[in-house]
Amino acid sequence: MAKLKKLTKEQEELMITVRDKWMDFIFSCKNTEINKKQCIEGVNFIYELAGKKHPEVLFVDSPMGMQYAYHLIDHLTKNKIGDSVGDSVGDSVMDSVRASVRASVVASVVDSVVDSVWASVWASVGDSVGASVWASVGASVGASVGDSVKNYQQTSYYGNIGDSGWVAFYDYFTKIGIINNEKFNKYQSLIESGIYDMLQYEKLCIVSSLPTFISRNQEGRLHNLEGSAIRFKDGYEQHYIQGVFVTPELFTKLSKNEYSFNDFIAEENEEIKAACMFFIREKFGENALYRFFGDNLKEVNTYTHKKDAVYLEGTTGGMNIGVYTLFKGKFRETEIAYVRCYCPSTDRMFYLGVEARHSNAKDAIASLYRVPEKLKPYIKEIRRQGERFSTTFNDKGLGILESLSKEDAENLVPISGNEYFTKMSYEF
Amino acid sequence: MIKKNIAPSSDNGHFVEGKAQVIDLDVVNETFVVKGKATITTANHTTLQMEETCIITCQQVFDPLKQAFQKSSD
Repeated sequence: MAKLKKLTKEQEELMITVRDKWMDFIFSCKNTEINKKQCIEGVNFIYELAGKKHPEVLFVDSPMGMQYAYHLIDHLTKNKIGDSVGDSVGDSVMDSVRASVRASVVASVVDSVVDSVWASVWASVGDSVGASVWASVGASVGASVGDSVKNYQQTSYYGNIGDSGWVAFYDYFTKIGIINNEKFNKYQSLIESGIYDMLQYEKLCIVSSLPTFISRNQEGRLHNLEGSAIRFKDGYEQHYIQGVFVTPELFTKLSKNEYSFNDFIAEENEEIKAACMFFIREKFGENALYRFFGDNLKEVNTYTHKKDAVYLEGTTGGMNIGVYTLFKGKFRETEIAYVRCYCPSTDRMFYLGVEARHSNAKDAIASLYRVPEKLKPYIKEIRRQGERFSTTFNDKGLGILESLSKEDAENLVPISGNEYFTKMSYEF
Repeated sequence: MIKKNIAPSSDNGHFVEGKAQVIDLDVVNETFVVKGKATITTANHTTLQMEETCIITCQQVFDPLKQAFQKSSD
């Protein structure tokens, strides 16, 4: 049978319909009652795929509720719920469902159409739901559980809203008649039963319902300056500022305008620092931010590195890109210095600590880059993604890299501002 | 296909995806060699494409209270 080479106008419009259906399913926050019958059938199905017996299914109302439920039941039953089967269930869904529909679509549709549907449906839904919500919330629950009750239980690899991207993608191909895969249809039904996530054990599967409230910024990241950015039916909530998780205690401190320079200095996480700066500026105004730093830091020097247009693709393209400002001052009789810079991907503002010996922003920001000293003379190009640098080398450098010893790898050094900005290309 | 976290201390992680080979050079400083073409993804930044072998290093920031450099964390 000839492959589908081009979508009709109706089929193109359907991509948007399917994308919006899946986005709305999650972000409308109206589907917070799990269809229990539909869910249990789906759970039984994925356990069968993995060769497991049907488990008892317990419904709770948040991912944190899942963690508490596990620990309570595990304690009460004296470890009778069995080992986690998340890996084997995940592998089975991957092999029996996802691989199968992928093969069918690849065999029936030309690459350009697959790419188009992937970009319009899978990427949109996957980024918005999977990456920006499910992964963020899961990481924060993990951190919270680790801090409080210990022994965080890894949630499902398959069987959660993180699947929305790829399920939406194959939902589309089902709707246009390219596939009609019984196993996939059953799996889609499970995801559409209203589940948020699950913990999968031999004898028990703990399932959480979807959130009752989600607030996001224009980029689709969890964000709310007035309260929590995501809430569940049992009251569990998380606070986010531009996609960055902040604890309830920190959020309260920020809201009461009690966040101090002392807090800023003590905070080791640059993303959280940036989120706090954003909060102060948005909530209390530019002058509040100026006052926040003004008592402790004075502007010393600014360096502007304007990039060619080719390197701005994938950035905001904003005027803050490549602008570095050195601030210096005193804190408890200690000389301190920070370089203010902006994330090219999101325009978030960062104040990065540098040594107080610096007198110009160009060398100061470059002093934060690191490369093994043995490779320093052979740098070809530097690219940057957040706090991670990717450095390539000329042929001689690549030769040295092949035989770099552990000691050589550990001996990291910075480079000068001139060399840094000569070699730097893409910064995201 | 691989998906290897080259930022273990990062809350969200930075992931090398593709057919590249990832080698740990220094676990403490989180220095890696990425051999071959790679796509590097993370939560809060645009995806970075690498066409050739590179090393990944972590930014070091200066902590004025400790008077020492430390890995930048996010």
